Amino acid sequence: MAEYEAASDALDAAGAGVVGLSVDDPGRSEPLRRTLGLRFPILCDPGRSVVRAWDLYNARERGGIAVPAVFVLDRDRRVLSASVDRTAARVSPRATLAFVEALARGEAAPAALPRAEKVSLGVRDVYRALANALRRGARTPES
Amino acid sequence: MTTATGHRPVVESIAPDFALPDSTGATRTLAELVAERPRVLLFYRGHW
Repeated sequence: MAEYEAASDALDAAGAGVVGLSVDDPGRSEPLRRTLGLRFPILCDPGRSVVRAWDLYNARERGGIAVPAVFVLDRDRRVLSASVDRTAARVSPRATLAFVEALARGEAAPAALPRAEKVSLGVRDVYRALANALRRGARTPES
Repeated sequence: MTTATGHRPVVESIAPDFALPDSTGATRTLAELVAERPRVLLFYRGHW
């Protein structure tokens, strides 16, 4: 969460906002949001309804929590990228930023974001986008 | 690891809408959040 906060300005510049979601209730989430200085909203699913509906419910841990996952959604809720992780490891903000920046440039999007421990088809596109972003800097999308 | 009780949205599908309270208690819908701008939606493990 903190690492995505650190990347949120660059994501903003690329036209995307961040939103977090966990099974914690507001009484737990709001102190976390303040402690980490998160500027993006945190959604609370203590009833586990959304994590179940999205098949992201891990019943084995700590009374049932969300499986770490990152989705990139457009304004019509269309899924542009989906990455579901088996452990606490998560696709990095850097890779997510590169993906969003590639979209903002109108480049063909890879199907999935890379995980730290798994290299799959499409990763090269993300890294190329990242290299481009580093070379050219983040650009704001056309409005 | 997971209990198969729903459907994981896949690339190119339309994610199902939902309404949840945010950490301040205000009700937010996914449709409203993405209508503002595209979103990176993070599911995280939460408090230990």
